[in-house]
Amino acid sequence: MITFDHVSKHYAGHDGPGAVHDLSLEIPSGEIVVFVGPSGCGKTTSLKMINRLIEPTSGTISIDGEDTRKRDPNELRRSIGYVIQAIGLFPHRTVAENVATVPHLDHWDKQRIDTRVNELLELIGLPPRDYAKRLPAELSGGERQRVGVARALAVDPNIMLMDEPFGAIDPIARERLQNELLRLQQVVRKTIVFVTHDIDEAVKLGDRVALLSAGAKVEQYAPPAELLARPATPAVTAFLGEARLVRRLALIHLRDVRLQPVNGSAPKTTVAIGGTLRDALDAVLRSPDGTVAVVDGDRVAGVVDGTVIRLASQ
Amino acid sequence: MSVAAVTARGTRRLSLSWLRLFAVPAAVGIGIAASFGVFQTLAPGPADSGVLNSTFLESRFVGHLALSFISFGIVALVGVPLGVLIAIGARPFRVLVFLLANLGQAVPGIGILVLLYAWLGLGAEPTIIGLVIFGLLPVLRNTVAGINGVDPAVIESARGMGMTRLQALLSVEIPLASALIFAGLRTTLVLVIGTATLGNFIGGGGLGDVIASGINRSDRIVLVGAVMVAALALLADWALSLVERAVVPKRISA
Amino acid sequence: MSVFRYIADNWDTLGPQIETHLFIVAISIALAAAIGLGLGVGAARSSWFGTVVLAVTSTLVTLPSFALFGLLSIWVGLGNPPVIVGLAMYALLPITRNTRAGIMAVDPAIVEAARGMGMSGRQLLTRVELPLAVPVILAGLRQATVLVVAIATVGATVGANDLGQPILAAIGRSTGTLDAVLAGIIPVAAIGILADLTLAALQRALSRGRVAVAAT
Repeated sequence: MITFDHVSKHYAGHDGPGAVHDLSLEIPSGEIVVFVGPSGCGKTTSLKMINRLIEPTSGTISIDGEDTRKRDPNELRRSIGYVIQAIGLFPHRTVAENVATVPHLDHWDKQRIDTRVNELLELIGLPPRDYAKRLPAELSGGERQRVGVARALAVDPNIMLMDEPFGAIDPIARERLQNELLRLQQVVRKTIVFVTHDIDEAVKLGDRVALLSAGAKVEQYAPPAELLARPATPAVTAFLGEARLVRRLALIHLRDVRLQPVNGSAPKTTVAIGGTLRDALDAVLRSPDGTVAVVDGDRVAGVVDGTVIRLASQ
Repeated sequence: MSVAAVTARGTRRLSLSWLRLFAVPAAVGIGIAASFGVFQTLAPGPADSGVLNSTFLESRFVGHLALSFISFGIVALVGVPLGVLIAIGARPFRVLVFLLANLGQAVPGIGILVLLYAWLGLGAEPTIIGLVIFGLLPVLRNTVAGINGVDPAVIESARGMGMTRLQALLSVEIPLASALIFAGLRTTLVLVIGTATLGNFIGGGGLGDVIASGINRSDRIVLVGAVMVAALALLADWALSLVERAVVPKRISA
Repeated sequence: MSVFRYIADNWDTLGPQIETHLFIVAISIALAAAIGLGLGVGAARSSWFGTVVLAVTSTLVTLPSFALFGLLSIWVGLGNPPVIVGLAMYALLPITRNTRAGIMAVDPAIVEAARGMGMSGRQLLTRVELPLAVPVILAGLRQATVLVVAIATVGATVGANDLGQPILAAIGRSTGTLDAVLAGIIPVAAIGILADLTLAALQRALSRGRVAVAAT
């Protein structure tokens, strides 16, 4: 667990972008917590204070109850994975050498480093045989960022800090990387602090989302579904923008929805039970009579119509 | 950068490298052989025997090597670390370095040597000091530019992964800056060997003595002196380029 | 400062030396520009020619100036001629390299558009490529000029009556050595800096609307 306790960061002379005022927040272990907010709101500053790339002016950040200031900053950083938008791969080193950076700093033996590097490259879907010897310049943007993630995971840190890691990547590759991150998280179960200015990315990835406004003021800190259903402040509503309830439907799985029983013959239009309410809404709009059968393989689990969706979304 | 572009660059470097490996010594060899032919066509002069003997030529050649390599050694040992320090620590000095480096280009090398003479008199020491001052600027400028030119994201990620300031400097920043640093060193080596030729005017010795004693008196002497200095400069630059190839990471270029 | 009094007192000798210095620089740069432009265009067109030309011109700047001037004096005699030829040889590299780089940096889409409009190779070069490369070529000309202004002083060692003369004359004087050296160095540096600033201003003025390409 990472705890922000009345943390502030002031920059000399002005109170401009990046400042943080009295931030208190708890980040539970094993979850993805997303800091989202407009640029200059202090989300990146808050992230960088965790691994002490930026030192707070006042307040305390602790990891599992231990004040980070009590630890050597370099040793602290080696124990925390760190991924940034610009990636920052070392251009003069191969993919394998890049991934081996922190194990090398921690004086692992060669055998152990090689094994770990191969394991990680497999994990991120870049087969070592094809990729280990390549240079960063010989990779696509998406591949580079995956190497960046592998490098951050090298010594199996409990915590990963990700600062807009997919911000500079084209939309299709970005979506794939987001899905991979979620898949990876199923395997590795890290505490991930993720910074983005993209609310859709926040809602998609976060177990919890902290919506920040200027000075890293926490407008709302909640699971994405709750954020979309019940924006706490006008600032949250404004940042969520239009169609927040429709977007929220994508977060509700049909398995969790109370369906209507089948009455007579089941509707012709169907939706799979593995989908979300958003898929169901799409099917309802397609259906001639506004009703849709939810199917679980061959079995019809129930029926969805506009009323079911409206009730389930509240 | 696309793979194709990188491959293209790799191929170009490769072909250039073969050219460098063989073309320079070969050209120097051909040049020396050709100048033997030219030598025969030139009229002998009365002063020839006094200069064109192995004792005199050898002493001036060794003197030239000493002037050049002592100065270059000092410049390399002082300039690179100083440049690194200025790049990472002393912001105000950075502007000064670039200003001086630009101004230095406008000041003639022979002027610096004679200034040192005005201050310290004749001899090898003022010559070496002058050469060091003159040669320091390209090395300082390129080292500072090289270190400051490293992508800040690369440094941030190095620091973010827990490298100490020194580790980041030694294993990331300096290797990435090394191509530019070497470019500065090569500029300086050529500059120092060339300017050392003017050392004879302030009593520094060196191969300038040979050329100067032939001017107005014997074309043969001028030819021998000039060819020796030119061969030395070309071969020294070539040798340093070999060191560069061995030291600078293969796939980065300035 | 006493050096300025020295310059004023010796204006009779220094004046012609400044003139000769400027004359040598102007002729050698003009010579190098004429040859370098041609070489640069050729180097941009053919990669092997470019490799050879760049190898040769960068070898030329490696040659020590006293040696080169001395060597040239064997064939063209002492005085201004070996200095003019030698300086032109030094100036070739920046001019050739930048001409080549400037042409190669022209957006291929612009070249394609020009071809599509029916321009011949010569028209393409003179109406599109060279005009677009002007800022980069000027940057090369500027580097060459600053280089040549300083090296021209070495010309005094082979008998050119330029600003190297007061510097050489300072050696062996019992008094006023410093003033004599500075009387050579200061005008040389002033000419170099003025030429640099003038060409920089010209470069900026002619860069409007063109792609800014870093001069290397």
